[in-house]
Amino acid sequence: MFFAVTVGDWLGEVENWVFAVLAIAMVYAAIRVVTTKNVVHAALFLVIALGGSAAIFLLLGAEFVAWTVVMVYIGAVIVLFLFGIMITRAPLGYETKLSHPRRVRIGAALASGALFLLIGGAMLDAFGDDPVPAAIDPTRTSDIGQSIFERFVIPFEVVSFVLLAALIGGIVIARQDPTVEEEEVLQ
Amino acid sequence: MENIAFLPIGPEVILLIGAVIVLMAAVTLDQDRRDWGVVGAIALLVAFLLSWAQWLRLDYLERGQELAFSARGVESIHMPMVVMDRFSAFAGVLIFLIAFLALVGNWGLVKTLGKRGAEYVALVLLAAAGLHMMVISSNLILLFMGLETASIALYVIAGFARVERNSDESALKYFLLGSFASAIFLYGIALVYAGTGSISIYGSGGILAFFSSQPVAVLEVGILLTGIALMIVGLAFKVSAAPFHQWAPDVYQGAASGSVSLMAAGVKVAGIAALARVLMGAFPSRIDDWAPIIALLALLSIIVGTVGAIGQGDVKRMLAYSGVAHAGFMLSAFVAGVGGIPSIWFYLATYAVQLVGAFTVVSLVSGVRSGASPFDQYKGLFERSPWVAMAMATFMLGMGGIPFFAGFVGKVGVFGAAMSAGYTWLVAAGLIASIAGLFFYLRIVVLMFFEAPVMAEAPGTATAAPRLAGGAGFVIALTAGLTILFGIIPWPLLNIVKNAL
Amino acid sequence: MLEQYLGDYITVAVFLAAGGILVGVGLIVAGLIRPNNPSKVKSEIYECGIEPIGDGWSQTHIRYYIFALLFLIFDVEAVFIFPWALKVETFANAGMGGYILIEMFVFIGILLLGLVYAIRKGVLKWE
Repeated sequence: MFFAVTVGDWLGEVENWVFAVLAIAMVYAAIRVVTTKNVVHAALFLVIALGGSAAIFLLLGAEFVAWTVVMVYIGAVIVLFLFGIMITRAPLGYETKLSHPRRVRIGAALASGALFLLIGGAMLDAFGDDPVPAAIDPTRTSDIGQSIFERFVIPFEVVSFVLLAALIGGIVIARQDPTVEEEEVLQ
Repeated sequence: MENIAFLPIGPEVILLIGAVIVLMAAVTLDQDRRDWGVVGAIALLVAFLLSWAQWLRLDYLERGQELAFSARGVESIHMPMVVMDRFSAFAGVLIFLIAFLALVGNWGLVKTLGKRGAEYVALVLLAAAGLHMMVISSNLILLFMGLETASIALYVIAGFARVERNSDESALKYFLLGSFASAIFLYGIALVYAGTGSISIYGSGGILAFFSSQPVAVLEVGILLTGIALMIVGLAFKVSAAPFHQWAPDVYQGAASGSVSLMAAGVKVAGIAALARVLMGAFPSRIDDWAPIIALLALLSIIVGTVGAIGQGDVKRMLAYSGVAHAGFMLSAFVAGVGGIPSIWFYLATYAVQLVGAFTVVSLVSGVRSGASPFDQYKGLFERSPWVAMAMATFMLGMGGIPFFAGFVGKVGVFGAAMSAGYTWLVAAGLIASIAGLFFYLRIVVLMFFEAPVMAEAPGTATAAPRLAGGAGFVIALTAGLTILFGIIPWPLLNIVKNAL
Repeated sequence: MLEQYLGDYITVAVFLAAGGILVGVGLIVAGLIRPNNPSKVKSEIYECGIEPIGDGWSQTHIRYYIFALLFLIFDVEAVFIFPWALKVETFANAGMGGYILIEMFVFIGILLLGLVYAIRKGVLKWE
């Protein structure tokens, strides 16, 4: 049974109340991200969804991940999103008709619904009736450090490869240096 | 603390140093220098030699021993991060050969890019490093990191080295769909971790150890299979297997001809190798679960690729669709498990070489920075430049699987492997598709040899006679030579791939 | 362990709530006691006392995007410095100080070269 824990027990835990509030806010924000007609608002709703996920990571004792979400996603990725939206010539701030035809929307909804059911079903199948152990050790940032520099040194260095590629790529895409023919034309 | 042995990750280090040198040189030295490619080619060559050295070193360590997927290369106590086995060494040799040929064959691209040539070279080096990382990693996180490094570099390469502005669309499509596929792959890793409690393939506490220690009944099968399925989807996208192939024709056509070789051949090598590593390295005990999925993907790819290629009027789109079919052929050998790996390797090696050769011809005929490469430009190519036409014919016949070309031996291998696993229907579909595939390969041959040249609108492309000279000439001659050589005497390569487990 | 950890974060939650209440109460009380007399000029966007020109939502220059991108990249880098900083001492006491230092220097060094590239490229110039 998935719901082996009785409702009364569930309501007795403060964490569950916090989780419920966060989950409702996140689901609402996530739905608004895809349904709002204003792209800037979509990015701002994403902030709520990401903030909720950061809070849930905190609840689960994954401190480092939570603050990474706050710093990197809310702090930087959203800013990048907003600038990305603002450098386009799209009519901002207006209610624009961004949606695809109904047929495409239904297809997309069905596909994402199927994926959700698949993953959610697999999760419930595997962990449905396991309560989160009450006395797990939270993973502090220093544990992450230990792990990175003991075992994950190579992936850690590879992060810098990815970032370097992204840096070059971003600059190259955003700055159009003239090519040889264009230079010749200019001269 | 982990004992970091430098031989396994040597190629990455070299490529990174190469990329940084090129970048620094580009911004400090005289801006008009255009031979950035030299540094890139040297770095790739060194990486190639290092991979070869890995192979020899393994020969020395393990002479005469049976070696299937193992982590013995790196003396690491607990859950190794990278492996150095013959599988990864062979993959490294192949990837760096492809990347080297792709760079040298399109020397002109680096030169015409002007100031951006240096960035192009740096991105090629980083992409090659990422692809190699995918095949040496024994940890799914590192595998993902390699995938991302290569993908990010290739998205940019697809986007910026072009002439046509409207090909931005194809680069954006590649980026969006590719990121989505990466995310799906990552989710698969997360679910596999949830199912097995490990993201490391080998070693104590790894996935393999998990399967050998757990009684089957305890397994949380659902979550594990979902994870495996998502990982297959992510990698199937990268190797453009149907139904995850839609990006390939647009991207190949939209990107500059000179940059497609790496995108097509290199990614295919690394993607197939990574898929083999994941499925056969980590989940050999679940082969009955994943083999039907792979067989279905293979069947779809073969059908979609062959049918799609017939209707094309552009060589790059045609090659993209035929690439889908070839991905299907290679996937069909996966159902044989580890026993199918030699035939996959043979097919992959010969196909990748032919593909690089074919794209080099494309960039000779249509120009290194061109997007489209319509059939018209190939009409009467034999009259204009017989050697290029003959080389292209070699690649086409090789891909078509005509006897005495390398593709034939490869096809016999993969079909034999699928046959031995009992997938007769897949082999039957593959044989029919191979024969149908001859149609579009031979069509190009006919165009080149028997039709009169068409005057193209753009001067300097189709009308001019492409000469077989310089880097491109070297690459085309080498790849065509290899195609014929391994078609007639495949045994040396067959002996090598037999050991590349 | 988890109890104590969550207890620590209750402090954070209390501060967050206090901040929210302070601002909220201030706004509400101000709304109640201030005179309400709107006019067109008053409700215009305040831009340092200068009359606003054009639309507030307008296209911005692409250099903002490059800055945001660079910020993102170095933000990710900064995130990895925290766990490192917490562990330097432990590793140094275990005789691995050089190792952990070099690892971080390599990591930062690669991106620093990227930054040098960006600067030399003139990306960071504000013209």
